[in-house]
Amino acid sequence: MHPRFLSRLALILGLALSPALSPAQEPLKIGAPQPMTGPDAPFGDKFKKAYTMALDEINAKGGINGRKLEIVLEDHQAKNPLAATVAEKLITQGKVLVLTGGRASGQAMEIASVAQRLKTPYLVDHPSADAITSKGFDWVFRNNPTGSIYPEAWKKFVTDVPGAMPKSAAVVYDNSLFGKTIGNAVMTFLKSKGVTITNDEAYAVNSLDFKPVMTKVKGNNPDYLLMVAVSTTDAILMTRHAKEIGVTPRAFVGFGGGFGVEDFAKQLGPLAENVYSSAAWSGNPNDGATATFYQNFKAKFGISPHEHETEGYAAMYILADAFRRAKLTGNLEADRAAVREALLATDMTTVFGKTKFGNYAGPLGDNYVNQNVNSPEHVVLAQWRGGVLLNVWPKAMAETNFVFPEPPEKK
Amino acid sequence: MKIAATVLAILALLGAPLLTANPFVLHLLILTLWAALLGAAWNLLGGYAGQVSFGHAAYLGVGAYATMILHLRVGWSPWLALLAGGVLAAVFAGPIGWICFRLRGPYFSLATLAVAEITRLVALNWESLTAGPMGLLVTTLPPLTIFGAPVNWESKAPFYYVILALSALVTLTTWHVARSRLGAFLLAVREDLDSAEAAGIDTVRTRVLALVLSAFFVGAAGGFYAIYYRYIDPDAVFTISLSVEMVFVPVVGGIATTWGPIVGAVFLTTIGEVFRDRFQSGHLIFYGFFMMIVIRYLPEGIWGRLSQWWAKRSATAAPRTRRGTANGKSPSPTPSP
Repeated sequence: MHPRFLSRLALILGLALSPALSPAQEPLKIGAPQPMTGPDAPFGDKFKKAYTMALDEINAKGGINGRKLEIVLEDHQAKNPLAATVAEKLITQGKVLVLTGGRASGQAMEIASVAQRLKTPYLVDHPSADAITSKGFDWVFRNNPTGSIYPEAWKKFVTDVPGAMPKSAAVVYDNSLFGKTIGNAVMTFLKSKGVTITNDEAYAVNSLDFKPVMTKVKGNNPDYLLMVAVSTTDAILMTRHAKEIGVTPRAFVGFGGGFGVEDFAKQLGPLAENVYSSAAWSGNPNDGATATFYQNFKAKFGISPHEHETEGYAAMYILADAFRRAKLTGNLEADRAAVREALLATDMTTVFGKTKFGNYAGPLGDNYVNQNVNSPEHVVLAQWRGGVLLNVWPKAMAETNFVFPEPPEKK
Repeated sequence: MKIAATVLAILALLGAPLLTANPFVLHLLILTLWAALLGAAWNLLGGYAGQVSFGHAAYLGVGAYATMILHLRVGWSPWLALLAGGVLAAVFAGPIGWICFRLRGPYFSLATLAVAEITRLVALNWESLTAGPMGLLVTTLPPLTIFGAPVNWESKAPFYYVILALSALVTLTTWHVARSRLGAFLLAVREDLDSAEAAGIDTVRTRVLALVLSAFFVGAAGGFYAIYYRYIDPDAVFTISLSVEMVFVPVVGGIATTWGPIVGAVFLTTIGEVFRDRFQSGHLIFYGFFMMIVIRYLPEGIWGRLSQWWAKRSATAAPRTRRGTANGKSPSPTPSP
C-alpha cells in the first residue's frame, strides 16, 4: 500500500479511536483571574509559571481520579471592574469548578464578591487585605497570611529575644491598603506594650524624597525604625535616606516585599547590611519538600521562586487535594458545593506549609472566615547579611543567627 | 417602517433579561449601557460645548462614594443613594466649573486632570469618611419589593433595568439639549468663545450648566458602579483610565451626536471582549491599533460618518422631498456653520 494512504488510515483510525482510548472525561477546570497585561503583568506571569508547573506534575501522575486538571487564566489588567467581569465569565462561560488567583487585594475583593454571589469556591493564594476573609464570605478561602498578620514574626522576635523590646519606635508607612494595614497592626502592638511611638508618618506611594521624614525621625532618636512600603523603590529610597540622614536606631525593620528583593541589596550595597525584612512567607527553606521545590523551579525556569510562585504552586495542590476528596457528579453547581465542603475539611501540608481553614479573630479584631489557621506561623523575620537575605526568627526557620543591636558604625 | 423598528428595538431592550438566561451576556449588556451612559454624559460637555475634560472620574468617584456612604452609614436605600450620588456630584461640579471655566482649551483640560487627582487624594486620606485605601464594601443589598414582588439582587435583571433607565434618560436629555436654547449656546461656545461672549451669552454660566448636567449623570453612573460591583476604593473609581475611557466612547461613536455614545459603547465593549478572548495578552496592542485607525480615518466617529453618509444619500436620492431635511434633523456631527 502507498505509505501516504497508510498514514492517512492511521490518522483516521486514531481520530476515531481517541475518544475510546482516553476516558471521555472533561478536565477539572480552575479559573484564575490574573494581571497578564498592564503594570502588574510580571506577577501574573509568576503565577502562570507556578500553576502550570504544579498542574503538569499532577497531570503527569494521572490527574485526579483519572481526570486532568486545567488552569484557565483570564487577564484583569489590575483593574477592579475587569476582575469582576472575568470572574463572572470564568464561572458562567468557562464553567470552572473553582477560582483562585487575583494578585492584588482590590481585584480579589471583586472576585470574592462574585464568587460568593455565584456560589463558586475561591481559593485566595496571594492577596492580603484582611477584608477578603473577614466579611463573612463563606465561599472564599485563603491560604496565605493576611496583612495584619505580617508583623507577627517581628512581634515574636521582640517578645522572645531578651532586651529586644523597643523602648520607642518611629513608624513610617505608605498610604496604600497594605501600608495602612501593617502600620496599624504594628502601632496597635506597640501601644499594647506601652512603647512610645515617636513618629507616626504616612507618605504617598512612590515618594522620591524621604529626607524630610527621616530628618524628623532623627530628631526623636527612636529605638527602632519601622518602615512599611508596598513599592520596592520606596523601600530602597527610604532605607537609603534614613541611613544617609544618620538615623541610628537599634534596628532598621522593613515590612513589605520591597525590603526582601535582590534589588534592595544591589542598590543599597553596604547600606543594606543588617536591615531586617519582615517579608512575605514563601515556605520554610529548612523543610525538605520546600527546598526541593525551589531547586526544581529554578531548574525549570531559571529564576528562584519567591512568595508568589510558592503560593501559586501550593494553591494547585490544595485544590487538587480537595478535588480528590470531593464527590463529583458532573452537575456543576453540586460539584462546586462539594469542592467547598472538601476545602472546609482540608488538612494538609504543601511547600507553603500547613493548610487548614478555620474561623478566628485576627490581630486587629477582624473575624476571619475560612482563613488558614496556620497563618500566624507563616511569617518570618529575615536579615540582610553580606548581600543575602537570611531568615533569623523564629528559630525553627532560622538560617543564621541574628545581629542585634545594629553595631555602631565603624569610622 | 421607522416606527416599527423603534418599537422593536425598545421591546428587545426591555425584554433582554427574559430573552437570555445567560448572566454573562446580561453583564456585557450592563457594561455596554454603563459605558454609553458615561460617554453620553461626557459628550454633553466635551462634545456639544467642546470643553474637553480629562477629569470626569472625579464626578464618578464622588457619586460612587456618596452612594456607598449614604447607603452604608446613613442607611438609605441604594437606589435613592444612587440618585443622591448624582445630585451630589452635580453640586460638587458647580463650583469647580465656576473656577476652571476661566481657563480655556488645553488649560481647562489640564485643570480637570488636576481636580480628579486632588479628589482621589482626598478620598485616600479622609479616612474617617471614606475608609481610605481599605475601600468600602457592601456584602448584601437590602431586600426590596416592587409591586409586591421581591427583587432578586443575585440576578442581573434589576441592575439591567436601572442602567437601561439611566442611559435612556441621558439620551433623552442629550436629544432635548441639542434642540434647546442651551444647545445653541453650547454650540456657539464651542465654535468661538469670544464671539459667543460678544453676542451676549454668559459663557461661564452656560458651560457650568453643561458640566453640572454631565456630572449628574456621571455621578449616577458612579453610584451604579458602587452598587453593582459592591466594592469601591479610591484607585478604582478616581482612576485616570476611567476618565480616558469615557472620552473614547463618544470619540469612536461620534462626538456631539445623540446616538454616537451608544454606538461607541457597543463597539468598544464588544471589541474589548473579543480582543481579550482572541489575542490573549496581546489584546491591548490590537485595541490601541484599532483606536488609532478610528482616530485617523473616522474622526467624526462611526455614527457621525453613518449619519453624514445617510444625509448625503437621501439628499441626492430625493432632493425635493422633505425626507432629506427630516434626516438632516439628526444632530450634525460636524461643526455647523
